[in-house]
Amino acid sequence: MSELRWHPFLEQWVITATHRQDRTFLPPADYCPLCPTRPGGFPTEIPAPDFDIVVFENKFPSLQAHPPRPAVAATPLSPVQPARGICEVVVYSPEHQGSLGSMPLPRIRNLLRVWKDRYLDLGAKDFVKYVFVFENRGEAVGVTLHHPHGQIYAFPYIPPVVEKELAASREHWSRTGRCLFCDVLAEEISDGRRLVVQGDGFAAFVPFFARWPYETWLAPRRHIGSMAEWTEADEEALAAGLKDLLRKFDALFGKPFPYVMVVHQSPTDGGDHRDCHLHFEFYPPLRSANRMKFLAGCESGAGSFINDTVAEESAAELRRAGGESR
Amino acid sequence: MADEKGAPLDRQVVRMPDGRQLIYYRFANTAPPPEPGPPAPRPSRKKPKGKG
Repeated sequence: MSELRWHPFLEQWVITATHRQDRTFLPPADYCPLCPTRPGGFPTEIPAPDFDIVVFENKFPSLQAHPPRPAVAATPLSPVQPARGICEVVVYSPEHQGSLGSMPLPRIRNLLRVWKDRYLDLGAKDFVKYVFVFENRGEAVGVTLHHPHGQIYAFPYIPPVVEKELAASREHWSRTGRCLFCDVLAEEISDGRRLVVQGDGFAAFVPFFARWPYETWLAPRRHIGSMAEWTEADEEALAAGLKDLLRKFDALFGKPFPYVMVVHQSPTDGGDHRDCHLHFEFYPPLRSANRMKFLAGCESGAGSFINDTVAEESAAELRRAGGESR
Repeated sequence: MADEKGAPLDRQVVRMPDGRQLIYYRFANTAPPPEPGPPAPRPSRKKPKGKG
């Protein structure tokens, strides 16, 4: 069963995808479905014996280009729609070990170019309104396969968090004539207390309003709405920024640092989104080396985050982690 | 090195037996192009499923 069910109180779609219950869960390393298919080895998802970067449609997709008809009938209070969209898996490397942050810089740059290609390709489809690039890293955030990889969801609608962010950006733009993110970034760079790493073309910071203890945002300094506008120089800067930041994450507690990484950028719905500023958001679930931040009653039920830390201290910890970066 | 940046992005689109799309991206600054492999032998024990 796979369909979109409307939540009339929150006014957003919920995706049901019961077939995902059967997906692969933490297989042994020699049976990783994201490794290349070695001669004489078991057939993985990737038939080639070696590759550089591979993208393929998810075997257990939440959204499908040709979805089944909804299994239930809609009512006026309970609209339902086919779960149309595309879910892709992006395998960063043929190597089973490692992570995005440990990859060589040229490979990270190549990955940025693949993301751009997917944004352009998926975003050109008439039913795709938003191309959502993300990565879940670590079992703490529900990872089922350790091979370095990320995912892309091509949504048939603008997801609610992005929609809210865009509405605020639009309001700021119409009131001031400026980009909200550019203004926030300028303030963070000027203040400096919450900066984690920065370079000529990028800056990473724990935002003033961080909801997670080590929540960090990474963005190009210049106003870029989407991956479609990336130049080689932007790719180079962002790749360096990603590597610097992820190295610090892993150095913070001296072990692989779990996180959810998402990219927010312009929708592909044909609208005017000149006020959108592309950026990465990282939500690490740890609040200390061995303690998790859970989305409990206040966060899940009231939608109000309680952060046990302050952004200025978290940023200072991250700046110190792993030594100076650039 | 000339291929350190700006390497042409080369992609090869293939269809898996179940109809899903798979794209090999190749870059001159990393690995050599992959060759599509022959059908692999069946696994000797239970095959893991796909990515979810």
